[in-house]
Amino acid sequence: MTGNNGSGKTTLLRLLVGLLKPESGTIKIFNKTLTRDKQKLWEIRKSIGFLFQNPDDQLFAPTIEEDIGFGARNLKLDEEEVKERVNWALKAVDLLEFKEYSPLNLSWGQRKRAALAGLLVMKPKLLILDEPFANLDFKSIYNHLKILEQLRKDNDITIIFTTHNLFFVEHWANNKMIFLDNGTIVFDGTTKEGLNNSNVNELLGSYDDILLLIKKRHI
Amino acid sequence: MKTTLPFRHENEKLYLKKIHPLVRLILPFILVIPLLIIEDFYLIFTILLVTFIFDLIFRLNIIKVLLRLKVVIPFVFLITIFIPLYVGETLFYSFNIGIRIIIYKEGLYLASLIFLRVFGAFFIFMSFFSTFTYSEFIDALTKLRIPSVLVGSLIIMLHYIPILAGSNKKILEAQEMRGKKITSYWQKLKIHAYTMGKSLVMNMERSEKLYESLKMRGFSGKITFAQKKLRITDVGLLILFSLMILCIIFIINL
Repeated sequence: MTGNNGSGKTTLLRLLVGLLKPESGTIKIFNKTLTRDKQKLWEIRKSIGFLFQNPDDQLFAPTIEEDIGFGARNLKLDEEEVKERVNWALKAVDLLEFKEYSPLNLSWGQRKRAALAGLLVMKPKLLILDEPFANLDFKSIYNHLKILEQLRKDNDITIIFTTHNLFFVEHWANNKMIFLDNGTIVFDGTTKEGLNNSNVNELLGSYDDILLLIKKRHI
Repeated sequence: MKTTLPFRHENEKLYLKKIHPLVRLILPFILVIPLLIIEDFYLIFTILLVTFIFDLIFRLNIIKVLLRLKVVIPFVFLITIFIPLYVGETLFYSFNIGIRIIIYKEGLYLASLIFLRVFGAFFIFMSFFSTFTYSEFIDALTKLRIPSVLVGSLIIMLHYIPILAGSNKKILEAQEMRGKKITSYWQKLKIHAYTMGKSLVMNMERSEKLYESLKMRGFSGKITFAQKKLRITDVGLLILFSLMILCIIFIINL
């Protein structure tokens, strides 16, 4: 899901997980309508992992291990299963050696991965990530992409993420892309098509133009 | 981001690591309670000496502890400095600076006693608290059966102190970068007061998001963590330490 700043990407994501209530219409996830009923909402949310833009909005526990285990414990799993899942999630995001660390002693990229592990531990069917690559260096973005690809392959997880970074949009060339502008979907198709769409190019700036500009500057 | 809380980093080596956090939380109280009751200077010095030796044996970072204490010293000094001028009857010293200032012997004794007690209590607590990681401290509180609502609030508060301090520091730095000259502590304080409103709004937004993220992971009002088990050796150590302090008090009183 892409679009310029203020186009409504985060709002749409928050609507999808029931953190915001739609002014009109209904939202269906896994064929279940989102309601305000807490119990029903939790039944749906059990299968959704929602990653906030800022990892500090999510990480709160004294150690990474405890923070990641928080969601699993709320699923009322036994302690052995919780530990197993925590170790698996930590391994998946390559943070196993930092499990006893306080989130405060990790870098931004590591904190983002720890926040992601906190969702994985609940074994979601759908991962919704709000700007997962924001404020990351290229190497960290590459690592994040690798982790997400692996998760998708191994666990059959659907991933929805927002970004306005076209370089990473291209990485998912054959996947679905939605382009938002001012709260309206102006493009809905594959990423490949989206990058060549005149509407998208006009609103976002052509991908080729940006590449050309960067190349010129480097030369 | 650097943690500003008085806890050790997970990587720091500690010889007391094997002792349960709960025992490490109770031990300073065993030392501080007699320190606050007794009036004998020798006994106070002995307890402080025991703590000092303890720090040396377990290679705790005494310099770090003392550096943290420097924040408390002016405060303790302020509390005690006027006591010798008002309490007592026996003249110790007097001088004239337009008005006659009299220092009483009993007041001086009392002020020194209070200073030593408060300073000593801080020294003992800081020494022992420096052995905790943030997680161990929470573990100890949970083991003490402190209500989860209180521990939960404390966890979130302690976690966000360094984050908020960091963002406040950045606001100050941004102002400095744009030409604001911060020359005195008072000026710094004034800028903090101005940025307080912004911080308040930011913090409210953050707490709202944190609540949402907890809700997304099934938060229902209770935060539960795994706990370390208390071993018999931990309890034994606690009893041994209490007996040792009682013996010291008994021997000095003989």
